[in-house]
Amino acid sequence: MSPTLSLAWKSARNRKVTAILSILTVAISVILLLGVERIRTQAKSSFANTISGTDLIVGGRSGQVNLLLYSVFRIGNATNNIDWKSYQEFSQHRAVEWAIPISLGDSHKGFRVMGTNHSYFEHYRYGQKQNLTFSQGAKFDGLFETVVGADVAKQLGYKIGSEIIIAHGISDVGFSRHDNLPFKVVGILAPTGTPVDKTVHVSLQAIEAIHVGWESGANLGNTPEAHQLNAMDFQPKQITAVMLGLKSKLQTFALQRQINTYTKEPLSAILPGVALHELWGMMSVAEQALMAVSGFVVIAGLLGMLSSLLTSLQERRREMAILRAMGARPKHVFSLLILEASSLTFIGIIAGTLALYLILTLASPIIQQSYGINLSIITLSSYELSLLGLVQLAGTVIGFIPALRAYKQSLSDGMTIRV
Amino acid sequence: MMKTKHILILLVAMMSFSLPSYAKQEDVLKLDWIDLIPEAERNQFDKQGMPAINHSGDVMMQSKLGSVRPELNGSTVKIPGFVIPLEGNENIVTEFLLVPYFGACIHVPPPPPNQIVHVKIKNGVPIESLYDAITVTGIIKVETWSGELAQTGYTMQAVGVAPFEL
Amino acid sequence: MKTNNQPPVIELSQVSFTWPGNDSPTLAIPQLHVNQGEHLFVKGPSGCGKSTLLSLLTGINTVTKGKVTVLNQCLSDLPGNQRDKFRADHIGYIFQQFNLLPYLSVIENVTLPCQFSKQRRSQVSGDLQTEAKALLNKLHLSESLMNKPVVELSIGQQQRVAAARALIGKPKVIIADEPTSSLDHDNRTAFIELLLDQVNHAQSTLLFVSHDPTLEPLFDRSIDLRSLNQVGGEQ
Repeated sequence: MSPTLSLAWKSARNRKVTAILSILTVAISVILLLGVERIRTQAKSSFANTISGTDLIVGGRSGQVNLLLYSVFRIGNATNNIDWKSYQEFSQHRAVEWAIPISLGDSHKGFRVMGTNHSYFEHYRYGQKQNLTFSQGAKFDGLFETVVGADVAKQLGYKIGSEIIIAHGISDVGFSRHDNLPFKVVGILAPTGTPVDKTVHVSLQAIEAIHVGWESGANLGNTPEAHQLNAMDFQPKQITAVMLGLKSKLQTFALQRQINTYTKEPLSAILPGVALHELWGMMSVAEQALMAVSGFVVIAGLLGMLSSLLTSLQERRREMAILRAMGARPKHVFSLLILEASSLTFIGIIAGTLALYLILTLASPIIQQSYGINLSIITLSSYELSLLGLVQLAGTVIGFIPALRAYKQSLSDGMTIRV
Repeated sequence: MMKTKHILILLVAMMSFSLPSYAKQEDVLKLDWIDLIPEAERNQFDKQGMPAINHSGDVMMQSKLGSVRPELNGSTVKIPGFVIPLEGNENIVTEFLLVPYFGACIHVPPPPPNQIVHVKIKNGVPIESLYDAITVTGIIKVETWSGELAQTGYTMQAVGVAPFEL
Repeated sequence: MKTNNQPPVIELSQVSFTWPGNDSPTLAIPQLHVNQGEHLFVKGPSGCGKSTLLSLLTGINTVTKGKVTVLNQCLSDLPGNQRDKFRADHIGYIFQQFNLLPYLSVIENVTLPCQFSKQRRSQVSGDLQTEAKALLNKLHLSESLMNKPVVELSIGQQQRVAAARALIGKPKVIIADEPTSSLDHDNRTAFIELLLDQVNHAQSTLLFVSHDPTLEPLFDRSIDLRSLNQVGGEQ
C-alpha cells in the first residue's frame, strides 16, 4: 500500500487549487464548530466562578439577570439606584450578618470604577468561597486613595503610588474626566479571574466627592480643589447595589420577600445562584442554535469537498487506467481516494484548529474588555477532541462515495477509456 | 478450577449485591414536608391542609413559629423538593436550599424555616433545570445558629440526588 | 529471434469473448501463438477487436470461451487480484498517448512498475534511479530532459519515457498499443528501432498493435486481426 500514499500525495499536489479549497472549507467549518464550543464553555465558567458566599444582592427594581449582570459582572447598567436610607435599614436588619454597598457608574481608561467600603475587602468571596487578597499594599483609607484589580495594574503599568484620573460615566473622554482630582494607588489585588481584576475600587465618599460640581450632569467648572474636598465630609446619598450575607441561610426567602415588598422604595433582591441559573437558561437557547448552525456548516464544507473529489474523478480516469496498466488493483484505486478524502479532512482540521487559536489569541483581550468573558488559551478538552474526531470520521466516510465510483470505473474501464 | 483471583471477584460481587439490601435494612425515612413540622404547629393549617391565608393586605410575614423536630436529628431520610442553588460552578451545584415548591408565589408567605433544608453535597451534583423536582437522600441534622434571635433549622449532608418520580 | 522447443509465450486456443450486455461475441480467435523473443506486428484498423484482444492478454477481462495462456499461466485460472499482479510482474504496456502521470517526475514515471511489482524490482540490480537513467539513455533521451517536468516533453520524448517504463525490470512480454500513431512520420521508424533493440536486449517478446501498414516491414512476423478474428468488424 505504500506506493498509494506517495501517489495520493503527489496526485493531490498536482490539483493544488482544488485541494487547498477543500482544506479551507473544512478548516473554516472547524473554526466555527470549535469556536462556538469554546465561547460557550468559557463564558459559562467565567460567570460561574465570579461570586460565592453571598446570600442576596439588592438593587433598584430590575429583572434578576440584569441586576446580576451589572452588580457582579459589571456588564450593562443599573436603571435605578438605592437610597442610602434603605441600605442602612437593611444592613442593620437582624437577619443580616454583613453588607457590602457598591456604587457603579464611573470609569478609568475602560475599566469600571466601583465605590465601596471596607466590608468589600473583608466579606466578598469568589470561586469556591475564596477571599480577596492583596498582592501589594492594603485597602484605601484616605478620600483619594484607590485599590486596583490585578489586570488594571498589569495593563496600565500601575504600582503603589501611581496617580490616576477617573472619568464620569463609562467612556473616558477628556471633557468628562475629573482632571484635577487624581487618585493614588495604595493597593493592588491578587488575580481572581473575575471582573474584580478589571475594577478600580474607591471609597463611597470618593464617588460623592468627585461629583461635586457635576450635579447637573456636566462639568460646570466649579469643581473644588482636592484639599478643599478633603476637609468636607461626604455622606453617600445613593448607591447602586448591596450584597448581603445572612446569619442563617434559612432566612433568605423571608428577607428577600421583605425587600421585594418594601414600601419606601422599589427594590429587587435576588439569590445569585438562582439568577445565574436563569442566565444559563437564556444562554442555552443561543448555544443550541449556534451548535446547530456550526453542524450545518461542517456538513456543507464536507459536501463541498465531496463535490470537488467527484468532479476530479472524470479527469483522473486516464490516471487510473495508467495505474491499472502498471498493476494497481481496483482496491488500490479505492484506497487512493479514501486516503485523499481523509488527508484533506485531516489537514483541514489541523489548519482550522491552529487558525482558531490564532484568532483567540488576537481577539481575547477585546472580548474581555467588551463582554467580560475570559477566553483563555487552553488545550483542547476531550469533548472538543471528540468533535474533531467526528469531523474526521465524516470526511473519511464521505470519501467512500468517490472511492466506490472510481473502483467501479477502474474495473470497467480497464486500460481503455470510454469517454 | 477456582483460582484465588476468581474467588476474590466472586466475593466482591456477592458483597456488592448485599450492600443495597443492607442499606434498606437501615431506616431510610421517606419524608413529606409536613413531617418536618412538629405536631403542635400543624394546627396552623386548616382542615384541607391549606395554610390559613390572610388577605388583609399586609405583607405576608414569615410565620414566627417554625420550630423543628429534634428527634429527626441524625436520621437518614429521603425527601423530594426543588433546588435553590447557592454554591457550585458551571457544571455542578455543591450547596443548595431544598424547598417544597417552585417559584416565589406571592399569595402565600415564603416557606418558614422548618420547610427549608440547607443541603450540602460533597463533589456536587449537576442540576439541569430548576423546574424539575428531585429527591434528596442523606443524613438530616438539626442545627442552631446563635444571633439576636436563636435560630434552629434543618441541614443535610446529602449522599444522593435523583430525579423525582411519582 | 525464434527459439524452438520452448513453449509459446502467448497462446490463444478457441477463444471467444462477448462483452456483458452484448448478444454476440466481439472476438473469436481459434488459434494464436507467439514464441519467445518474437516481434509480432498485429495489423488492424480500429473496430476489429484490438482493444478486446489486448484486454484479454493483459488479464483485464477473461474469456467467455476458450483459453488464454501467458507464460504457461492460464489467465482464467487466476482471480482478478492475481491477474493484476501477474500483469504487474510480467507485462510492460505502452499506450498510444498520455502514458505518463503528470504529477510524477520522469524518473518516477519510469520506476513506477517496480513500485507495484516486487518481481520486477528484483530484476533490477542496484539502484532503481540509475537503471532508469540508463534505459532512458539507450532510448536517446538526454540527461537534461530527464529533469524536466513531464508536461514539458514532446510527444516523441514522452513515448520514449513510456518505453523505458515498459522495459524496466525486464518483463517477459511487452505490449505496445499504437505507440507511434501520435508521432510524426520521421520519428516513427526511429522509435520502433530503438524499441526493438531494447526488447532484444531484455530478451522479451513484443506484441506491437497498429493500423499503419507501412511499419510492417520492421517486424519479423505479422498477423492481420481482421482475418484472425472470426467475428469481423463489430465492437
